[in-house]
Amino acid sequence: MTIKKLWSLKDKNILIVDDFPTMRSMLRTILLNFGANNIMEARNGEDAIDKMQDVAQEIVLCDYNLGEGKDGQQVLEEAKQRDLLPHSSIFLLTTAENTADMVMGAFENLPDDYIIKPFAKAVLQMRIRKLEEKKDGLKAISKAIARKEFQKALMLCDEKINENSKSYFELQKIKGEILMKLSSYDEAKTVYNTVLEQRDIPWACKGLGLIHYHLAQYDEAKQVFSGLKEKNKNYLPAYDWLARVEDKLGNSLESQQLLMQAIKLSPKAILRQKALAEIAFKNGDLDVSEQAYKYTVRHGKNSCFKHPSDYGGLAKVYLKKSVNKDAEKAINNMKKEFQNSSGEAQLQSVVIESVVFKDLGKIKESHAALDKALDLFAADPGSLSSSIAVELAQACFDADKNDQGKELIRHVVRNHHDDANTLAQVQTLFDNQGMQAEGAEIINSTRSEVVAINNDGVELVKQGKLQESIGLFTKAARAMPENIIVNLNAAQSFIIFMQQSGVNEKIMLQTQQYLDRVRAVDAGNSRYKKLMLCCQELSKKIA
Amino acid sequence: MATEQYLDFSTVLASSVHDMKNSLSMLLNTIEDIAQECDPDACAAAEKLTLLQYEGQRVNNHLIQMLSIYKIENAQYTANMGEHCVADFLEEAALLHEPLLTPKGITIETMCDPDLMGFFDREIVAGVINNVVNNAYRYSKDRIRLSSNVVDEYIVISIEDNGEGYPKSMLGKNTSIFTNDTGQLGSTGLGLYFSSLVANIHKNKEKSGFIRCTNEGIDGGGRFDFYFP
Repeated sequence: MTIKKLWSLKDKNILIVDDFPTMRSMLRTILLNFGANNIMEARNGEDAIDKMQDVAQEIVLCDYNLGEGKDGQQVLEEAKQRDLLPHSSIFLLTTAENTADMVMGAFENLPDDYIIKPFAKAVLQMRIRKLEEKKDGLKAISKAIARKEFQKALMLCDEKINENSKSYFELQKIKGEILMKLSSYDEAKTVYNTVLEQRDIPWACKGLGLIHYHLAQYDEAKQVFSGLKEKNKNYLPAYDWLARVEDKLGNSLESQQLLMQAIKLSPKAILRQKALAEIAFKNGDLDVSEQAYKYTVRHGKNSCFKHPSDYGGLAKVYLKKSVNKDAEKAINNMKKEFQNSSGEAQLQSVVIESVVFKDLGKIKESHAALDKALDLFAADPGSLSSSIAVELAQACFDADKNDQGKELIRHVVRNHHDDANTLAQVQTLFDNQGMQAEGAEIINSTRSEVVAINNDGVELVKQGKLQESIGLFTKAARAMPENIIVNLNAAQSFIIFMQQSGVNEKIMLQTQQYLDRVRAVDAGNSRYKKLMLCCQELSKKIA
Repeated sequence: MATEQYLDFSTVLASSVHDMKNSLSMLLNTIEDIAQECDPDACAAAEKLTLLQYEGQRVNNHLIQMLSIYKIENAQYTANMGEHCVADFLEEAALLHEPLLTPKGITIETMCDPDLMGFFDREIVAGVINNVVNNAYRYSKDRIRLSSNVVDEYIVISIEDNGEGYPKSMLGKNTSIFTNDTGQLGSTGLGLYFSSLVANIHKNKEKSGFIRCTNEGIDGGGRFDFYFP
């Protein structure tokens, strides 16, 4: 046997999460025995998230069952969403025998390990020790990923794979995730197929499905995700993705069925409940929609997934059901929840308020909210997403505020001047106001305006006036944060600048932000992929 | 119909087993606490405490076994395949049993390539290993060895002792070995049945897992092999 070096948890930040005080103190005693001296305790999910925010925890020992409120899986999901868990930290889920089936392997985000209660101290010690070793082995890769040096991370993965690392599958998984992020779908496909040739592993199969999904090959995606679900009845991501695919294929009833099955297996995921609420509303299944919205609102309260559209959705269900009293109550609750928020959440909340009050026949309140929304928009146009802007524009027309309505539509067109669906949608909005011709003119002139800006910027680059082009595109990207071409151009002008004048970490970060915006709406964009590769080449020079 | 008033007995069994298991873990934890408080040299009851722990473990193992068999046979069991380091897994098992084996003068050792990784349902395979080790506890002279190797495209986990070996009727592969000479399913037979069910839910491509019993253990003692692809 090899001699073990002295091992201790000294100076590690450790968080124990359990709703039973006796369990917490028992775990604390065990950890103290392992040399731990920085232990914090949390008695429920909310408390746990707070303590992870206060202190960067290196080890989190979290029980699955935390009574009312969030469960351990949700703590993990929220922590990941909020970036509270760096790659190097350890999240260990403890679970009782009877919930073990549910905990293991069913989710998109998995804990680093799980351990079934009751467990022996020696086993806990060994698990923590081994997880630390594993994380240590992957440290260089995690670091590269955190710095967005993806090519470097890929290289490190390949090196380790060639060394016959025992983390072979883990490395392939990381490789696949990076390639997906870079939209390098052909290479990602090779990774996933290589894995699947050796073994049917759910994440590899899911990866293949995702590639089809991003390439809008929905029939193929459906086939892959259905097969995955058949073979792994408890694997929830298969249900969620299949539901999205079915919706894309126009099968919204099937989509609803799938989400309902998944919720039966695991009811607590807020985003899934919200997806169900929306699709059920679309299907006219108001009872299911109401129930799911209620769940979303109630359980979203203390989470990062809280959103005004949950309350707005619930209010709309009540309006459809003609229970006006409850619709008004939902809106008042929303006002209470979001009165101190800022940016998009606040703006959206006020827009919803205006729309719902109008439907309730409360015109005075509706107009007051509308005026507030317009003030907020004027103060910070960038914070208004196009989907809300369309609603707000409609509200303006309904209130005879045509000028403001038109300005809002210009805002939408500026952000989506190249997107046929959105343009058709706003044209219909004009048509319904009896403003066909004027609307078409507004859309066209706004489009030309954006095209001109892009052309001017590109022309400046050609003339070698790079600084001016950068100035133009950054300004444009601020005003039109959702515009794909503007963001791509802004990123490209920065990239050319760095290619000529050297790499700068701050500029690189901003370039990435523009590219991230593109990825969020169009991951398969070919220019995006090219520019990402340029960034990777450049980032080698930073290191 | 009158029969509709009765629950299906297997459902009753499954839920009772669950409760029993919970009580039992309380019981075992308490015994462990007591055992820790008493110094084996000074405490007259130390030996009896070890026996209590051993028998408690046995009941626990049997309950896990029963519940798992029930679930597998009713297709309620979803195997939870994960990638695990086999050496760590064996070391954990050894750590668990050491406190009970040492007082009886049995040493437990592990032998495994530290880089060997395998895909298996860690919790249920642990149930199999615990069962077999518990048996070896009774039959071994003074050594138990947990080891693992790769044979063809299978990983094989072996548990060997240096006792008298398995009776002739139990030697061989899988199904034929569960009944004793009188054709009845003995306690060891049940354990083997459980093991082979568990081995069988481990599949990759066209291959499924299986078990094998031989007397090729330490100095001709019993040897149990658990193969999974």
